[in-house]
Amino acid sequence: MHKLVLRSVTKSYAAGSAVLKPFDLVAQAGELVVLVGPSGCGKSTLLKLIAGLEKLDDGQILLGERDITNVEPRHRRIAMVFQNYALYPHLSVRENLAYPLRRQKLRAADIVLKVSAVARQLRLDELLDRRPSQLSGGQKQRVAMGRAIIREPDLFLLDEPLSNLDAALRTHVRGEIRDLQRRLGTTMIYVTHDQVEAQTLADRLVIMRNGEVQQVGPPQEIYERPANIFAAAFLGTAPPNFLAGRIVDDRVEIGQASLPLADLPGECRTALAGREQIYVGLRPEMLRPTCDLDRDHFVLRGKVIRREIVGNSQNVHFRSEAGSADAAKLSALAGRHLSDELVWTTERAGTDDAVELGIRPESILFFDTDGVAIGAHGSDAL
Amino acid sequence: MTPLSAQKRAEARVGLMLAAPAILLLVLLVVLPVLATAGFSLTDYRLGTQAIGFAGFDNYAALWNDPRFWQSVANTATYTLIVVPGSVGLGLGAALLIESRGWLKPFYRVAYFLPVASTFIAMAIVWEFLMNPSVGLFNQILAALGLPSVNFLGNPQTALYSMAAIGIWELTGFNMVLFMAGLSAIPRDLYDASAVDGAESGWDRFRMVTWPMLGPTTFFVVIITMIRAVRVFEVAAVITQGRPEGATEVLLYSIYVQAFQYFNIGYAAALIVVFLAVTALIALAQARFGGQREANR
Amino acid sequence: MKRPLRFMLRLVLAALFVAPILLALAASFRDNSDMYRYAGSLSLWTFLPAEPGIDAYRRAFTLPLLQTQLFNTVLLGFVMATGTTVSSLLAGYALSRFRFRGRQALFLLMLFTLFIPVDVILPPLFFVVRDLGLIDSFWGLALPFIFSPIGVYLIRQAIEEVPRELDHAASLDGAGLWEVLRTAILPNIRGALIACWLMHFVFVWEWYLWPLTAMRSDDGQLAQVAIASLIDPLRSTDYALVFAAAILTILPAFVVFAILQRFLTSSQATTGGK
Ligand SMILES: Nc1ncnc2c1ncn2[C@@H]1O[C@H](COP(=O)(O)OP(=O)(O)OP(=O)(O)O)[C@@H](O)[C@H]1O
Ligand SMILES: [Mg+2]
Repeated sequence: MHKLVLRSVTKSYAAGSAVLKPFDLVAQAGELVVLVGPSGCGKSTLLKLIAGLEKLDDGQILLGERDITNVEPRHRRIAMVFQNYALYPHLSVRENLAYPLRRQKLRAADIVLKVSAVARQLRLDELLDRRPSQLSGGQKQRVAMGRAIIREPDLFLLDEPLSNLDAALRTHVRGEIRDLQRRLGTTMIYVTHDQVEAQTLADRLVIMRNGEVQQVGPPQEIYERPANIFAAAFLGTAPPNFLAGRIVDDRVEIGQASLPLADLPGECRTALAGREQIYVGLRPEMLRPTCDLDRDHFVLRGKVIRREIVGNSQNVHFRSEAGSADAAKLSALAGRHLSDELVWTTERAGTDDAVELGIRPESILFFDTDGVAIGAHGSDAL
Repeated sequence: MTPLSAQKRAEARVGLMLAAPAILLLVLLVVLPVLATAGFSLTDYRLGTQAIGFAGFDNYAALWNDPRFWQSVANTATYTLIVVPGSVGLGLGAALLIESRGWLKPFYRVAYFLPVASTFIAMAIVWEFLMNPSVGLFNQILAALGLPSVNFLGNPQTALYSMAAIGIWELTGFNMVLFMAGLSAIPRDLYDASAVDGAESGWDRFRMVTWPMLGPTTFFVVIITMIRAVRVFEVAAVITQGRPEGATEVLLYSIYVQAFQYFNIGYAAALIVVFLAVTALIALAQARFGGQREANR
Repeated sequence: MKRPLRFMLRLVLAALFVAPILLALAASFRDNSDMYRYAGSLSLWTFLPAEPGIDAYRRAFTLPLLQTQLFNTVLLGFVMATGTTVSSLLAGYALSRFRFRGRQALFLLMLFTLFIPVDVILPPLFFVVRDLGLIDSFWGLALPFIFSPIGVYLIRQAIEEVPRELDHAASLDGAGLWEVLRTAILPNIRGALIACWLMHFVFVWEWYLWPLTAMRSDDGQLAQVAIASLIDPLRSTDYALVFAAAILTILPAFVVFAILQRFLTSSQATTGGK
């Protein structure tokens, strides 16, 4: 098992526009680190740098005991699974699997043994003589995985390996990849767009934006204590409802609603004291009808605009007078479009046209006007 | 600029190494000769004489005042303007006609391709026979139809066009082969998509899918047809010697006559320089046009 | 278009294109006296030899040098085709996959030379080849054409179509530069390589002016040029012989094309992605 360390790696394709700002990252031996971030933030570029397919401008990359910064890709002992799988179209599945072994000049008999072992492991036995063009998406994916594991690399890099699969298959293959990684114990860097994928797979999650790390940590921790509005908006089925608020005397005021600071956890209280303008984030799935809550001081009232049914839960969109007037600024901080509608995710079937919702004070996320979390910083040291 | 990392330098080294033979040959076979030509064009050098003197722009002045030069420029331009659209259009038409015809496809392909590989000299004689004013097949057919006979290659009015017809015959097959390769690379689903989008007739399909997708192929075909058209030479050299009345006098033939028959290297060089300047202009126009096309894709 | 109409159109057009060659083929089986006999009025014998015979071919084979010259053309075809394809492959690979100083300039220069017909700069090329001491030699004939901007363009274009991920996968799988080229790229640009090869092979059959100037010894001459010298305006020409020799010259190119033509449309590379 090998630990991966990136030390202030920088990269720009064109002079003047850095794709990766000085970037640091540590993946512990055997860890599965998931990189998430919006399109164009440099995820693929980062993987290519680690693999040696792109040349870095500056910085250092260590894998296990080795400094691989200037090692050729083929000597890095890194395997990569590409989004489009990059199977050799002119080779059969068998030859695709054997390809890395042939490059290592292994004996023919050993190659046959390994290929059949991997084929069995990934249920590819029946497909060995087909060409990639004769495979389904899921099968291609398995071949790509097979080609990655067959030569027992020190590190796996996966670049959105499931994005070409349908939803059901994605869930299934996701589980398989997780199991495989656990069983092999090989360190893995996994890139995805999909926050569910990210949360279910990751030992640790790295949230990126514009070539910079926003937050690193276990998914649950980032979910509970996001470091900023961007990270908060990234995890969760729907982004939190962001509202503008003010600290007046000893209360947080959001529109008509208000909440005494005394109800908040201690660290939060001290951090909030002395500020004026703030933003709060209320996760849609944390909202409860006020009648269900015993002690609750923060109440949102609103009119339902529409409902979306998703399986056994529904998203209730409503408008409230507390709704933020800062949609544009918040959208910029969150890196995605936020409307001034609020959302409540609930498993109740029937809901009235008027809603009255509350939230536990300790579930409220607080941010300053730059979008940085107040009080609880979830980031661990790099 | 960031300093190049060791890896980038290594990549650059390998890239240069791979490109080296091409660069070397490019310099040796294109850049040097072109520069040498430009140099010679300013001299009165004649092959076989020792003396070589600076002549300034005398050669160009002589060219400018030589009606035969203007005629050969006009002839070459006319020839190219007929042959390029003709053979590209026919080549595309033939490729579309043959396309998707299962078992006869190889046969058609070979049929169209034969003129390319036919040794032109022999074919020139065949064409001479065919276009002969008295016994030629074409005139036999005209006579059978009750039309007056035409001295295709002997009449200054028709000689250049007859030559262009031969050129089209010679070049079409090759263009067709290139177009066929281009056609086969168009993904089938695009035609399905265009059908969904309301393409009904074959013409609609051509306009919406085939033609745009063939863009790069067409660009390539036009370029190489043009190169092959402007260097038209054999008919003039073998059949007509530029006659009648200079109607088939084309640039390459003039260059050849000046350089290798009159050994007038300086004058020939000036001719070449003018020729290259004209092709350069066409090339620029083409590149702009083709570049735009690619950008619009 | 109606199917029968299409079919007719196809047939007629194809017939028009082969007709001159078929006429040459027919004429090669004629007797010289036969050549003009039926030319005066249209009849079947205007097209076909009345008394076909292979005399002309016999005479062609007794020409002292024709076989050598034919061999020269074919050999040059193979050398040119292979040489240009290899040099184009290297340059195309470099231009498509490597970043080095001057790459852009090289590509532009290449595009520009695409428009220069080599024949036009033959006089100065003649001096280059002469100063290299290669006049009247096989390699002197070959040299000016061994670099082909068309080939480079064609192959670079084809390599651009091969997804870069394929190279990347290969180099992570342990392939070096050459192995990437050989095992990941080459198999996926087979169509372009064969097109390039075939194109430059048959281009040799079009050569006339260059061998005429750069090759003055008869046994090094190319068949098509030698055949032209059989036509003598001052004496009566043995036309049947000319046609027979021409048909013999076409034959190798025809065979090679017939064998390779099916590869010309082999479909493009896909990654096995969607
Ligand atoms: N070869 C290249 N040349 C120039 N710019 C590039 C190149 N590759 C990527 N970029 C730029 O670098 C930035 C980061 O690209 P990258 O592919 O790493 O994004 P990504 O996070 O993987 O996005 P996605 O989620 O869409 O795959 C983008 O702005 C992109 O335009
Ligand atoms: Mg990416």
